Amino acid sequence: MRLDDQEGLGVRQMVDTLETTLLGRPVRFELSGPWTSYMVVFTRLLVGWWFVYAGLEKYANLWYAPAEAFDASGWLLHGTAGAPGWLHGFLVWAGSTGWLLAATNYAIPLGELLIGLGVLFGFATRLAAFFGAFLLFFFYLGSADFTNGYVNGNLLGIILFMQLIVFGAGRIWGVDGYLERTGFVRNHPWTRYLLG
Amino acid sequence: MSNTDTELGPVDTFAMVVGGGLVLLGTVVLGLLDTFIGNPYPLPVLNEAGEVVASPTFSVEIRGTIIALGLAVFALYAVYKLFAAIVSPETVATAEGDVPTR
Repeated sequence: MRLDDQEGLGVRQMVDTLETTLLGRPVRFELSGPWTSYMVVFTRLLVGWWFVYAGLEKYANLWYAPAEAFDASGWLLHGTAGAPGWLHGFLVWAGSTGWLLAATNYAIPLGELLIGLGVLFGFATRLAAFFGAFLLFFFYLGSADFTNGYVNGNLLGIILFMQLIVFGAGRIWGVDGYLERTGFVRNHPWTRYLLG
Repeated sequence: MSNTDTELGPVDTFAMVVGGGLVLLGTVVLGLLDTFIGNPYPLPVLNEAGEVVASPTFSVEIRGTIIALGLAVFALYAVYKLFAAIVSPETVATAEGDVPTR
């Protein structure tokens, strides 16, 4: 990192230079270290809350009488008709198979909550983000909400989760930043693919 | 910042090219063709009676499946990276260059 005096104007900012190769071609560009870090944390907090809320609101019946317990059967059986056939068939089967529907009704709210908390606090960030993208994969293609095109919020959510994984976003102001300095993680480097 | 130049292996390159390529094919390439060939909307157009009067050139079946395959490549790649790191721990730090920082 260096301090740049941009165009001699006396404006100094911390600039990092990234040098690498992308598919065999050299790449070199400068970026602002503070802004890059800021955006990683900013993204993590927003995506984390997105999923924390998605999980919490499915438990709202526990403290708000008018709310109903979460039930995925309506979406599985009737909300996925626009999905590709192979996925629609699977989701209908899941929605009409008692034990699998029960597991789904249990796993989606809890999964969303845990994924959101992991991303929000930067704890097991890569693991949480992987399962966040996994869930969104089914929401994206299952709902097939392509009225405004194939690039919609769910697909962009998958991409955001992928970016959190690539950046190892939990290392910036996150629990993973502390965990990765522990002896256990240093002695078991594979765990960094779950943290980060 | 440190130089983070790293050499990717064939699996990494495959994930980048095939995974990203399929997602871009399903969204951007077929989306562009879909826009200018026939019905420009990604979903079938219905009349007031609910009958389909125009279908997209590339159905959800085609575009959705292509995108799904691309995302599946990325998912499998992530799983591969984890298990490769378990089998060969020494590859983690050198291959990624993302040592923990404050």
